[in-house]
Amino acid sequence: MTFVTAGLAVAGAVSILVPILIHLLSRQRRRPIKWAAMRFLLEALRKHRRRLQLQQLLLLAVRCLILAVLGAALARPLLQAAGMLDGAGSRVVYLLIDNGLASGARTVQNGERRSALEKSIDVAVSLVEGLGPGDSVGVITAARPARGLVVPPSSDHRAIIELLRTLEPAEAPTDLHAAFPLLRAALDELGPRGDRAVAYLLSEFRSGSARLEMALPSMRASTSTAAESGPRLLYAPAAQTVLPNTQVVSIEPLRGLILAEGDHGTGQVSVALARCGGELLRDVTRVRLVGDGLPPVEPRVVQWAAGQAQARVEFMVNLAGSFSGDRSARNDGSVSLTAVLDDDALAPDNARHTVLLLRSRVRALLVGRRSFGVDADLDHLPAGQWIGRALEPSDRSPIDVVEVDPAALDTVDVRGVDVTLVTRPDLLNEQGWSVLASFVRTGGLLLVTPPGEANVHGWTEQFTEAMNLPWRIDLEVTEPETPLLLAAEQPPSELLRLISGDLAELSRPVIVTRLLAVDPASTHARTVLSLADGSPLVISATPGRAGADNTRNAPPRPGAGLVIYIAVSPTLAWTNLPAQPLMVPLMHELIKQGIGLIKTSQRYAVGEQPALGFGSVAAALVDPRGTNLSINAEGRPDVPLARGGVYDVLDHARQRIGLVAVNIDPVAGRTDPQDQAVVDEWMGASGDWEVFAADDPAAALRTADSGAPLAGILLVAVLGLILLETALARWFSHSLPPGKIGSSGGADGTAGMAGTVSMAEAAAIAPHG
Amino acid sequence: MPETAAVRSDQYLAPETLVQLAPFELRAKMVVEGVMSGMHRSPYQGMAVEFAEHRQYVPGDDLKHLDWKVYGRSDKLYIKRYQQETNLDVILLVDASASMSYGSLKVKSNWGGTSASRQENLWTKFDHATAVAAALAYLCLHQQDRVGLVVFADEVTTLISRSGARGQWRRIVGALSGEPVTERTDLLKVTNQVLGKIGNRALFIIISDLLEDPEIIRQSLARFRFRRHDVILLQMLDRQELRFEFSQPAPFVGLEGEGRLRIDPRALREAYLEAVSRHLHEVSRIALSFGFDYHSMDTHEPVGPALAFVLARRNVHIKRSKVS
Repeated sequence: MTFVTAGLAVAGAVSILVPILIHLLSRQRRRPIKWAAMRFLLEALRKHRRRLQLQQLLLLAVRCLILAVLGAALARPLLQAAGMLDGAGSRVVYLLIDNGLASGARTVQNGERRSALEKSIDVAVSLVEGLGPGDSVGVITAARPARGLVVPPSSDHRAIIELLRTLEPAEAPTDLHAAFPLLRAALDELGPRGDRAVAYLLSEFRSGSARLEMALPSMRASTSTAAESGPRLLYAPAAQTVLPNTQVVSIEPLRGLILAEGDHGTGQVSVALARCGGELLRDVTRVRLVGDGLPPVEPRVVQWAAGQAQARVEFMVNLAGSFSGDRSARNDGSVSLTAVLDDDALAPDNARHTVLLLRSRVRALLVGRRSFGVDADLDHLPAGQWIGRALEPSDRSPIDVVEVDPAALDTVDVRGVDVTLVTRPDLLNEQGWSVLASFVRTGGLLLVTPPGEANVHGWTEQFTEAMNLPWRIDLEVTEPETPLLLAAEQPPSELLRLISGDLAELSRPVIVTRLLAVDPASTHARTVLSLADGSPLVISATPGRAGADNTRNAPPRPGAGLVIYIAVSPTLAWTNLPAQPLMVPLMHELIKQGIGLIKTSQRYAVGEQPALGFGSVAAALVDPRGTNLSINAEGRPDVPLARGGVYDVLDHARQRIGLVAVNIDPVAGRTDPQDQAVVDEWMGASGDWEVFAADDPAAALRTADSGAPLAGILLVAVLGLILLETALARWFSHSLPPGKIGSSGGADGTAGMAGTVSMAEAAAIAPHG
Repeated sequence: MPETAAVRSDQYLAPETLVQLAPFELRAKMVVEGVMSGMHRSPYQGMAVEFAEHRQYVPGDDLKHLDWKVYGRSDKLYIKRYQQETNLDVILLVDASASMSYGSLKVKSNWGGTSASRQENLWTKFDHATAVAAALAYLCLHQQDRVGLVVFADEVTTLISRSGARGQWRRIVGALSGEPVTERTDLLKVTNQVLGKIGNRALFIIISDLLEDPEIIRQSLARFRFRRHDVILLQMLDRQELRFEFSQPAPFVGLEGEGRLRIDPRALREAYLEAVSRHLHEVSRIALSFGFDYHSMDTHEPVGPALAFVLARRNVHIKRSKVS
């Protein structure tokens, strides 16, 4: 049993003390009466002591019961558990409210801009207000992560309404796929009462909320018995009003790493826009770009043609100011950029954020065995030297190369390093692979080539195991009969995006004579460069756990580093690549774009609880409003990210160690109205859902008649107890009507009885009379 | 003028009391021995001065008591019987136990009263008892009877010997007004003490609340009866004792050390009245069984009318017994 106002029930119970206290206090305050005829009192008391005690106890019990029952009645108790009144028990109403991103889209209604969520809350409040005191209400929100706000249902309607009034549109997408199982479980928990339950799904079913291409989980009863008469499932009619909404769907820097030198630190940023919401008219949208220390950038204006749904604008930004001592520059060189649109129906999707890495130099660690003595001729120049020369072709190269022997690789060596290049993986010991794995998992870029000196490569297994990659690299070198050429048309790759235009020309003279091939069928990696026969020459992937989603062409996993494998050793014995013009841009782009890709890939979606790529160093996140979120041992925030923006990452000393961009899912903000019939079909596939009438959502509740609340019964019981107490008090008090006083003694003819010693009475009882 | 016992004793006999008592003469129901010629029958029947009745002669009767005049007129033998009028000895036994200190009637300014009433400013049962005793003493002395006084509680506390002398009444009243009221009652012990001091027959007027065990009362009266005394039982009870009209729960404290009792009077009233009624009925029955007079008096009512009523009933009874 629960109470609408449990305090009253407690007060009722406590007020039982009142008659007891009155009784005790009244005992203390009476003045004693000196009395002569005690023998008669004692005699009367002896005779009636037990009866009097019983009477007093009975009276006290009735009075206490009155107060207790009255308090309980005022507290409006409800029978919830299965019991004798269960058959006619209270109704249960579950409100599944769509508070996802699209529910925040505002339409003008009666001259007032109201969001879909506000309208849903109005409906929900009217439903709750129409319920009887014995009915209970549960609330589940559908924004990711779906939450049972009031589960199990409560009969405290006032608190429910207050809770509903506090709901605000989330920036996370609507997740009916998670909300439906919650609702199903909540209804199942009701047991037999679930038959009397009514579930309302309050949503406008715009395209951002209802992803019709994804089937909903089943809402049909899990047990066969309940299936015969289960709860009623109702949903709101789909909104058909046009709701134009413009979104920033992406903000992509051409390169995630900006190398600044002096006043020069420019980068190109591409911003993609999309329109939705129904009728697409001619329109104008202004796009602004703002960022940490970014000088004012001229806004771009998009002239939308009728029916045009997508557009893209480019910005050239100079971030040198952010780097040169500006206070907004971060410890790790991260800067944020945000593309902002003018306000429209849905505000959260008018901004999108990204994080760039701003550096003056890049630190590269070359893990290879250095040869001492006389310089070898070009044919025998080791891979490390070729790579070193490619990275530092001149004194003005922004890449600093540090060499370390593979056998001596330690954690200290990789500290502060942006990229590690391994040309002698065969010389790495177990600790070396562990160091590299840790480096990659915390956001490092690893580039591995096979050692040119070996023919059998046992290290490949260690490599894939340490990086947790499903790659299958051959153990032996392949020497094709005829040298292999690079493919004339290379697959699109983020890593080589900047040189993609010249790539065909640059790759034409490159031949490969030896190859430590990877099995393309099992790599599940992105191919960066491929040979003419289709086999990959350069592949990249994000390390992860076994079975992770390293699918082909999938973007790198957020929060982790990147591994690039070149299937040839950059020596002339394997390929002429080191001596070709492609070598320098290839190495530079792989490094620069790789680092930038890792950085810009640290963009997370609202509603997720992602593993951040900072390892155990990160201790907390600070959201755009300054709220602190703890990061657990798995490197994930304790709670899902609730809003979009740029979050600061803090270490255990509360020092800022980086930035992460958190963006909304643009699909979740789509406001296109959806056809009612299609929505009906979509919902019908999930269960026996029915559309409720928009003008009378409570009609279904009237058919599920309210059970008799116990409060009424208790109030009647209180009335009965009061009458009983009155009768008992009068009976037990032995108060006689005035006319009867004084006459009782004379009834038996005894003189003096009742004190009226009249002459006639005395004569009547005189001994000689 | 300082308040003295004499002054207060004057107030016992308020003029209205004496006026109401004047038409009556106190007559003993039984013939008593007297040393003075009075208005009471003598036990020396057949020898005294006043003819009483005729009785048919039976062999063995003294022939000197034959009424020869009757024999001459009717030729039948009748014996003449006589009664001698004597003086009456009246002993007033006034209960001064603690229970007599109860009263619920507020005392008015000129009522006088005892130490008990002065403490509580209430007209106690002892006040009423002393008023009745004073009135009876005055009346008896006025008709040449000898009057004695015994004040008792658990034993005899004051004893004033019988006397018809002038000043006897003042002695009696003086003793009554100064009597403390503190102890329990022990009627049987008092009876034994009194009967041990009174040899000749007398009329004992016991003025008490008689809140004793009826068996004790019965034993006490039996001793009086055995010694062939006449007894008038005057039971003093306060109106509140008779009606028990308390409305609020309160602790009741026994005046004779019965302890403290916390009760709701309304709840016990019926049972209490039943117990009182049973007790009064029992006392009345016991008195009747010995042929003694018994009267209950409400201390809230004036002494005069009640006492006049008692004496009137006694005279009626005596005359009836004479006729029979």
